[in-house]
Amino acid sequence: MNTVENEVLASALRAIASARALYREGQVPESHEYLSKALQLLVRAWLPASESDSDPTSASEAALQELQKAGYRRPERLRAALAATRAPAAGSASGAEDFPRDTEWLWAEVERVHRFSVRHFRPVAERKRRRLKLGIALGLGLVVALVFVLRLWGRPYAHASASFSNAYRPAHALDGLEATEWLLPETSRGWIDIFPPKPRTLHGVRLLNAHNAYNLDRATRKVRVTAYSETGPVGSVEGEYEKLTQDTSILDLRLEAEHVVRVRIEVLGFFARGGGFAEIELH
Amino acid sequence: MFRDSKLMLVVAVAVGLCAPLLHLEWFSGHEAYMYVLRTIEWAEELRAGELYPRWCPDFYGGYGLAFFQYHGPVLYGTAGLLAATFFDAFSALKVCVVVCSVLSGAGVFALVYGETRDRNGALFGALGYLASPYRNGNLYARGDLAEFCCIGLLPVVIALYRAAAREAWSRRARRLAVTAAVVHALMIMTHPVLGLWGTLLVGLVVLGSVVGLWARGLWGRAVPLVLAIACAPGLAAVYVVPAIAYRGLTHTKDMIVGFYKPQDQWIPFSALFNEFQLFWPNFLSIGYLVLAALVACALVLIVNYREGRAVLGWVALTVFFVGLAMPHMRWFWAPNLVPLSQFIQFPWRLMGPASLTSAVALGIAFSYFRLGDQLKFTIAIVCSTAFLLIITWPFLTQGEMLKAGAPPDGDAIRDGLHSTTAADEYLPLTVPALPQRPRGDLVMSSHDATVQFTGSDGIRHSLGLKAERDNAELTLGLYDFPGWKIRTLSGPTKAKLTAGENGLLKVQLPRAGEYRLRVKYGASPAGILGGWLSALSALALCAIGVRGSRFWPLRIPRSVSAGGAT
Repeated sequence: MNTVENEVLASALRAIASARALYREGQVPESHEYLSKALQLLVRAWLPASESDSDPTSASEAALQELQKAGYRRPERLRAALAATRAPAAGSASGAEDFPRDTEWLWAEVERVHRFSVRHFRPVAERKRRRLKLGIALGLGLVVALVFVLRLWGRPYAHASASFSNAYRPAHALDGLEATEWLLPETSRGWIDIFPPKPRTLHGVRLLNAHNAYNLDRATRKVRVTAYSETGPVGSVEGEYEKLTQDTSILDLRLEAEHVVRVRIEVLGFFARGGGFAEIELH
Repeated sequence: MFRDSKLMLVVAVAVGLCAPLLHLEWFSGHEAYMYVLRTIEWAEELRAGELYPRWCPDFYGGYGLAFFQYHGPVLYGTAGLLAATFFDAFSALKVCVVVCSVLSGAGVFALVYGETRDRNGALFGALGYLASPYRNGNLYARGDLAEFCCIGLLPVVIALYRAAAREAWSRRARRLAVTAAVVHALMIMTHPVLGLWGTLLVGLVVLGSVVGLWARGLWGRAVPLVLAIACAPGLAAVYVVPAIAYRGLTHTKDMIVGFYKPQDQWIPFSALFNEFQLFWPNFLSIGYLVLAALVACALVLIVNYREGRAVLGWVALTVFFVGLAMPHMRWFWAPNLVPLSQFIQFPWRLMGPASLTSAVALGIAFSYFRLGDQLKFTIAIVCSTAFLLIITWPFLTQGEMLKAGAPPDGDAIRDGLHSTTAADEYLPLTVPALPQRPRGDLVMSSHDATVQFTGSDGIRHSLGLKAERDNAELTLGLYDFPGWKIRTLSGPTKAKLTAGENGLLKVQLPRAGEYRLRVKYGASPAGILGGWLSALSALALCAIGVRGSRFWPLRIPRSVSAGGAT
């Protein structure tokens, strides 16, 4: 972009800023005048250096050809806009009483050529920087959306028949932390349902027994695991823990089933005061 | 405007006013844990795959409640998404509150700045609104988070419509109008009552803008604005239509009798300034803000009438809203005089819009004072600080409620008999009495049928049944309401879902044999109709947005095209 183009474009932008400020104040005819002036200036910014001394009509045509070469669509609309802005200038008055009412299309054209020119005359380095910023913003947006979707629908969740208290809710059996547990109410049997994020093939279930932290007074003894598809049970297996211990107590149960939408783990018996699980993993 | 230091100050104050949320686990407002339980319900349904859950499966001990048919979904949808992914329900709601607090301050700043191009006036107006007792009381005293968020969005909506009316670039103006309509729809879906009254305020402001545009011959600008504001309620139809259509199926009539009768909820004039017997701290005491606006208005009319008269409309709106809550306007709230007006329950809710209009009037009037920038800034800071310390402080010192007092998940909610409503107004009319204990098993009773298995995941239930004879029946522990559907996955013939006794659902098995069924609460007929209306409104808004672009260019007048253009 040469110095002349730069100055002309800067004048056009000033005229546009004035037009917008006047419009905000309700001075519509005056705003229109500035927009018309901005249009002329914007087109002049496209004028090749060799044509700078030619008469206005042929200069506009040359500028329009340059615009077209740069990829500006529908130049005939711009030509019409230029013709419309020249018409009142040819006359004597340009006051409010001469303000053409149907100017919406003309303003839209000024807006279009303004956007196109600003984009075109932007330095290459700035264009690259903008593209980079846009790419980073889009990438970040996509990553955030993906993380949300995965957190929302990419992990299993649980419901249970009952819980000992709010501190021992079923979600603790799926949180990956052995230290947190789902516990059943005092001396009662019950179940916990695990819902995988989508129907899946099941090969087995790993159950990490509860022991109620340092209290060592609650653990599951006997369990039954049943896999359900949309249409009902598709497999079941039973198992039993040997003892209540404060060490990690794992029960691996083999269970082959397809199209599993829900796995119910029933606590059929327990040690001491009640049953529960520290972790449940579907394999 | 967005990098403005004064706007940053407004944002800082808006966040600062939410500081108690950081150290309180929860605050002891009138609504207590109600919003938390609703958010948990939404989050659990969202995780199970329901994008717009209408049914709270764990309320009333598992019998369920069509709560989200009636309550605006935007707050629960946003907080529910956060609660289902990264936060607990308490923190998710706190995040929403902070965002809406920032939006309310920034919205007033943008609105006043757009009207006057004066940053000091915008700062003063925004701080005035942030300090409004009703706004802060909505949060800390009443705990009505939906209303708090709704009046947070209200200035944003008005600022966007006004910006669209003032914008010279037609494409930008249309996009602003479309954005305004979308935020407007969100506002309606955040709190329907304030959304309705807020729409009245927005409508009056837009009407003023449209008349101005029309008078200048800019009908091409006026029409999209009118279309945009018409599309906003249409966009909200997905929520509004079922809420209105199914009003008669529940006890919503109880919402406007007794304590909730609007005619008995007027406030004495003194309550605008002094203590009030019913509420402490008195969140209705917006009188000082209104008085400041009136004084500023009177002063600006004396010193700068030509520009200052712009404030008169906002003052008139303030007087209108405050006046409606006064005893002499009791007649206005008489039943059947103004459609749906009864559902405001408390006319003093209009102190929200009144706070906004008076803050805007204050900001605009202050902008047109003939004072130096530095002096204006100093006055704005001193007055706002005094106002914040004297009027707002009592609201920031609320009592605490512990997280441990609320059920943490759906299973725990089901163990209680929660409905999160004060008057059980959404209990279906067909249910003769409130349940006395949690539901227990899904199948309550069966006739000539045995249950092989059942499974429930929120609003989705699967059943394995064996009908010993033809026309076997089962009663499910679920309240009947439009939207329940049954799918026969396998069986001798299709099972039917009907209304049973005591407002419960009944499954009919026409022929003997084994059935595998899926019962689910889905879109109701009115919900589907509302969805289509919303989709049509979205299309109309798209059309407004692309008009004037290269996809749908504006027509060149014949007089011009005949002169040479093609």
